[in-house]
Amino acid sequence: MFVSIEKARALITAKTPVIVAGDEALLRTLPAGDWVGGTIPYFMTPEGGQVSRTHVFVTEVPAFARGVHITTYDEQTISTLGTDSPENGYTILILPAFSGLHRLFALQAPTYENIFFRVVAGWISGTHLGDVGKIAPKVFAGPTGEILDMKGVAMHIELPREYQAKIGIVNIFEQGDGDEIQFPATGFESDVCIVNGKTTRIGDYLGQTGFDTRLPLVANYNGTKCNVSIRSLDIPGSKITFFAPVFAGVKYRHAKPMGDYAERFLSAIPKDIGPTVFCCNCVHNYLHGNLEGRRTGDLQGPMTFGEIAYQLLNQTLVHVTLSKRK
Amino acid sequence: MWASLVQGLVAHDFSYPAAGMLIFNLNLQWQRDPSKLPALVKQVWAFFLKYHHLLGGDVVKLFSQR
Repeated sequence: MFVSIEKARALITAKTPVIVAGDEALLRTLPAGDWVGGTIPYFMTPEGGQVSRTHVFVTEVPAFARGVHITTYDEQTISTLGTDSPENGYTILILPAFSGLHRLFALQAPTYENIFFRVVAGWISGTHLGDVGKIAPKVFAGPTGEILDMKGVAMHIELPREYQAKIGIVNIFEQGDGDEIQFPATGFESDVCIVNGKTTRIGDYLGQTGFDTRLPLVANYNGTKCNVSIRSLDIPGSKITFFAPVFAGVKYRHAKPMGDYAERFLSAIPKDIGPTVFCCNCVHNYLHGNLEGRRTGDLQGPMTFGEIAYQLLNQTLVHVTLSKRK
Repeated sequence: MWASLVQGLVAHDFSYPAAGMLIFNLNLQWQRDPSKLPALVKQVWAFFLKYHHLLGGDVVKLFSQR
C-alpha cells in the first residue's frame, strides 16, 4: 500500500513485518524493527504510476506467516541465498543498483544452490533518474538500522504448510524475427557480437540496422522470456552496454517491435491472480510505457532498476502470489 | 528424458518459469563442463519431484514427444 511515512512508522512500531520502498530521506526516518527497504521514488499506486518523495510503498507480510528472518548479504555470502530461503515460503531480496553485489548476483545467481527450488523474488533499488551517478542507491536492514550501498538485504518469510507461494513474471516482449545474436563472452558490455554465426563488430552491425534501444534483447529460457535491456550504444566506438549481463552461449534476438507500449503493457497485466504479497515493475516500463497517472490493475508496488525472479531480470513486472494447497 | 533436457536435445516451453529457467541454466553449465551431467540430471529429477503438482501438464507433453 502507498502510504505516508507516518503510517509506515506506525506499522513498524506495531511490530508488523514490512518491506518498504521509498525516497532515501524518508526511509532514514524509520525506526528499527522487522523491516527491509530499498530506495526508489517511482511507484505503481492505486491512482496510477507516480513519482513521490512524500510517500512510501509498504508491503506487509501476511499475518499468518510462521516466521520472518532478515539477513544482509555481501559478495562472500550471497551464494547461500537459495539455501537460506525457506523450504515453504518466499524470500524478498533487495540489492543496490550499480554495486558490485548487483553485478555479481546478475552473473552468478543461476548457479546458486537451490535458487530455482525456492521462491526468491525481489528488486534492485535505485534513485530518481536525475540522480543516477550522483547518489548511490541504498538498501535498509530494519533490525540493525544499517543503511547499505554495497550490501543487499533479504527478508525470508516462512509460510504455514497449507499455503504456497508462486512467482509470476509479466514480460510484454517477444523475440523478433530478425537475426540470431550471440556474444563471445559473458558480461555487461561487448564490442563484438556473433550474428547468425558470424562474428562482427557491434558498431558495424548495429550501425546498419536502426536498432531501437528501448527494446531489449530477448532470450527464450525454455518458455520463459528473459530480457537484457540496453543501457548505452556507442556506434562509432563499437560498444554496447547492458543493464543485465549477456551470457556466452545464449541465443538472443532483438525484441519484436510493438505498436503502443503502454497499451501492450496494461493489457498484459494479469487479473484475478489471488492474494499478491509482493510486486515490482521495471522503471523502463514506467518510462517507455508512459505509466505516470495510469493504473496497473490490482498490481502495485515500487518501480525498480531491475527485478529478481530467481535471477536478475530486466523490463518485466514480477509478482508473488499465495494459494492454498489442495 | 532428464539427461536429454539438460543436454538441450528436447525442446519444451515450460508453463512454470522456474522450470524453464533451471533447465536452461543447467544446459549452459553442461555446455561448459559435460562431465557434470550426472549431477545436473539429479537437480532436474529433484526439481520435478518437488514441483510435480505444478508440472503435470509439462510431464505429459514431454513424455508424449518420446
